[in-house]
Amino acid sequence: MRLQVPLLITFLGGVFMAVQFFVPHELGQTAFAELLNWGRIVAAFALVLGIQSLLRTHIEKIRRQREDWHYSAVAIAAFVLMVVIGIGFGHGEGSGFDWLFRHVQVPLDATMFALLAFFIASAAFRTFRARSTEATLLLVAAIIVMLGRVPSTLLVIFGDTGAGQWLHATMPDVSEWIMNFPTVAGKRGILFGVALGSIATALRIILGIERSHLGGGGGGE
Amino acid sequence: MKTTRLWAIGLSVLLAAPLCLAQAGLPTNLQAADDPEEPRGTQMIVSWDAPEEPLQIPGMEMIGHRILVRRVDAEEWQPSPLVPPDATSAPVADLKPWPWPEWEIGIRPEYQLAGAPAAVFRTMGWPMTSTVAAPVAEVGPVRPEGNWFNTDYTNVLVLTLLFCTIVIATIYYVRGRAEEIYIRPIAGLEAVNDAIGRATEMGKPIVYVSGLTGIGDVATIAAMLILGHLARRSAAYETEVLVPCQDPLVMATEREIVRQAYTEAGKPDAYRPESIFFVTDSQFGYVAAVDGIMLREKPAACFYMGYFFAEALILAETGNQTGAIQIAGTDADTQLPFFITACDYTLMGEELYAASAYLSRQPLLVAQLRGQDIAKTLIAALLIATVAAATYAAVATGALADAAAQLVQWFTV
Amino acid sequence: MNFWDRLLALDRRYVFIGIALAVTIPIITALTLPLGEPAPPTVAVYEFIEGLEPGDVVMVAIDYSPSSMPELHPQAIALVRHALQKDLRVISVTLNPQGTALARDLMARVGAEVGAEDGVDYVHLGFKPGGSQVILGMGESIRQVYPTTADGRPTGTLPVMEGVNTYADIALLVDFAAGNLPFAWIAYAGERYNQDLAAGITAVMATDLYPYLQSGQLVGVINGLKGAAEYEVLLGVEGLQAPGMLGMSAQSIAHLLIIFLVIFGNIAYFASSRRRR
Repeated sequence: MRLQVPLLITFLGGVFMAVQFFVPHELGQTAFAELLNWGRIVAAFALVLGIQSLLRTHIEKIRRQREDWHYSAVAIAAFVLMVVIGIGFGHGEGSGFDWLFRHVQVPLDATMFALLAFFIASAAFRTFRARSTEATLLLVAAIIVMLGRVPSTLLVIFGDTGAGQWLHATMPDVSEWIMNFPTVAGKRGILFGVALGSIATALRIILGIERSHLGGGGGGE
Repeated sequence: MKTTRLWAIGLSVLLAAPLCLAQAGLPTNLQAADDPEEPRGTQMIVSWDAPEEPLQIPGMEMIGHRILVRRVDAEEWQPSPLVPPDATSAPVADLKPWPWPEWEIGIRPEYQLAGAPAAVFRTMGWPMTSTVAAPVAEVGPVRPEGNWFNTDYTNVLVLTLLFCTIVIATIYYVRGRAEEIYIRPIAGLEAVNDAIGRATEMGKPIVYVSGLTGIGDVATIAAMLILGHLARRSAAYETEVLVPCQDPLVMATEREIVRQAYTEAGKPDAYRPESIFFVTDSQFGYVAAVDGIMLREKPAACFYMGYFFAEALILAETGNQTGAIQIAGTDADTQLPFFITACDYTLMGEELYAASAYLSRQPLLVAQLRGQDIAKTLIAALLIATVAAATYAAVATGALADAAAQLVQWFTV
Repeated sequence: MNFWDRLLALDRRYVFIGIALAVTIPIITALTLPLGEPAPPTVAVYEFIEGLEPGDVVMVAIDYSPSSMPELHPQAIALVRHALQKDLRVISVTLNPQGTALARDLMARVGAEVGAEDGVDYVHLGFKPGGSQVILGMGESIRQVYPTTADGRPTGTLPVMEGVNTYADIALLVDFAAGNLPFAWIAYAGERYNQDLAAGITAVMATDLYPYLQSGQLVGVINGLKGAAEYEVLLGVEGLQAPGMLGMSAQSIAHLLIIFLVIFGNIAYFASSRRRR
């Protein structure tokens, strides 16, 4: 029973969701919307679990004074501050919550994202090698696409000469061509595999062939 | 002020009074039919014939027809937007077909004061239409009919059924001899054991990241299945697996998967739920936390499985900096180059979905891989055939070219 | 260990310093570089809006968070400015909770610059959780999904919302996003309700969206910071009103540095003693 009931619910839910895609009738669409609402309600309750997990992890770290426990104290203080200010004083324009969002969250998020530029540069320098014909082709294509995205750099390299002007005008088109044709063709190939793989994964979960996520039985080793 | 308003309303009623007495001048031959363009079954088209002699009221002008709707068991009409005076049909929306109610639809002309008085009334915010007790032409009971099948998706249905049939049939026929099926070696999955062994030798944990999409994404489900296999093996060596989660639902499910894996490995006491923890649902907040964990814990191995966005390289480069062996798997094609650059092994696209079968060698799962390959071959053949047909239809004429064009059209969603 | 070996073993922090300088110097010195011809997908969005009549409605979905703001905010600023300058009505929504403050700032800032009036020429309806559910819901009734605006005004009473209740009343919907929400807009608003759609995306997402551009499911795509700068060129704005152009110079120099790093890395790789061994 412990296994059969979840499997039956999975089967019925999976089949319904697949069938409703083809049924435009209001009844099907209303049921679909209702199921999505259920999902949101379950997710809202799961958030309670998430918050409990977050607090427990950090409180435990502070209590045992593990290495770098001060950061956990900062995390909990920030969490409590945002909750108190958000619930207690509102989160509309001009509120304290809004101020913290703009002046703490926005710069922190942007800073983390900005790390990408540094990591891309160091990863490209370290690993982008013309070791084989394929790698060389990739390397050349990547440089063309990069130059196509910032054509003004060609004027910096070649100056305002005939060659510089020609490359400045041409490189974006070549870059667009690479993005539009070879890249899209390769991407579609990957997409076919991904689509089939995801249908097959869904199918084996709906049919109960894969049940390692439920514990015991098929799918195990 | 109040007295003036009463005067205004009284004047409107007085001017509208002839309407109450006149059945003549109403639209005739009122009919309601299901709107064939609206598949949900919530809309009807109501049509009527204009009266031969529209009612003229001195001092007032007709501004259009008001469509009214009510359930057969209701008293009050619900008004719909006004339609122009010269219209002879209009859609009526929001007729919910569940639980199969029947509707009555009515129509009545609507008038307003003409010329300067109307402008004065409008400026002063007073009522300027006279709909008071005007007669209504009715039709009903009627009911819109929804479609139970979207014919635009016939091709999707046929191909989905074909694909599912191939997979299920292959599972049925091949499962007995699944061990004979050749599975191309996938280096990334071969290295899973090495990664666990390394972590065990070094006495360091493994960090497992299962993507940044929710539990509804198949890539996340595939990542959770791989976590199950990894946990089962690492449980045997009592190697710690740290799983920071970005979605609380994923966290709850992964806890259950890992707990089960430890139980199956005969080490239920070694399971520590606090190793699988929620961090934040903010994308870069999550990345900052995971980067911090990697730099502090210096894990022996890092796994990135599932769907990733811009954070892929930030995670993988930080892992690389700590010297961990790194195995990634994603169907996010835009992030594949970053993982290939910074990780030791990368599962690309569908390899992520095949991982569960590959790691478990369970006959049903392996048989399903074979079915998937057959379906893929069929799709490749269909692609070539439709490209040839589209090319032929573009360059040739005649019945064969028309048939080729129709074939291509059938495949177009 | 020869020179090339030492170059190969270069501490990554030197690369980080190089990138930091390549990004900051052009911004501090307000370096501007010529951009070249705008890419066709950007022009397609611009032309579509040019072809609309005054009073037509453009809906913008601000579905990004602060992290992708540097790339996407200039795009949204340029497009909203274009629409308001053409006397189109602009309605903004967001399906990303972190996009609420960004959308509010964007609409207020551009509205003030163009002299447009909140509630009459533009409005920000705010954030609704639910992703695809919200998109589907707006296909039935925008006023039901958003009975009030983000700041509590009843949607039905605003002049900007007059005659606007479903996608049928919206001439163009532009989704600015860094995640996978454009696919939801395409699948639900585009496919189910035949809404004309365009997208403003981060450059790394371009390959994801190009197939939809080719199939005609998107009328156009504004691609990354370059797309923003191109839109600004098409609009004819410059200086502080063109944040995309300002960012492009930093991006150009950083790209140039990366290209040089890759080339030098390869030269060093082939010349190094490790390779020869």
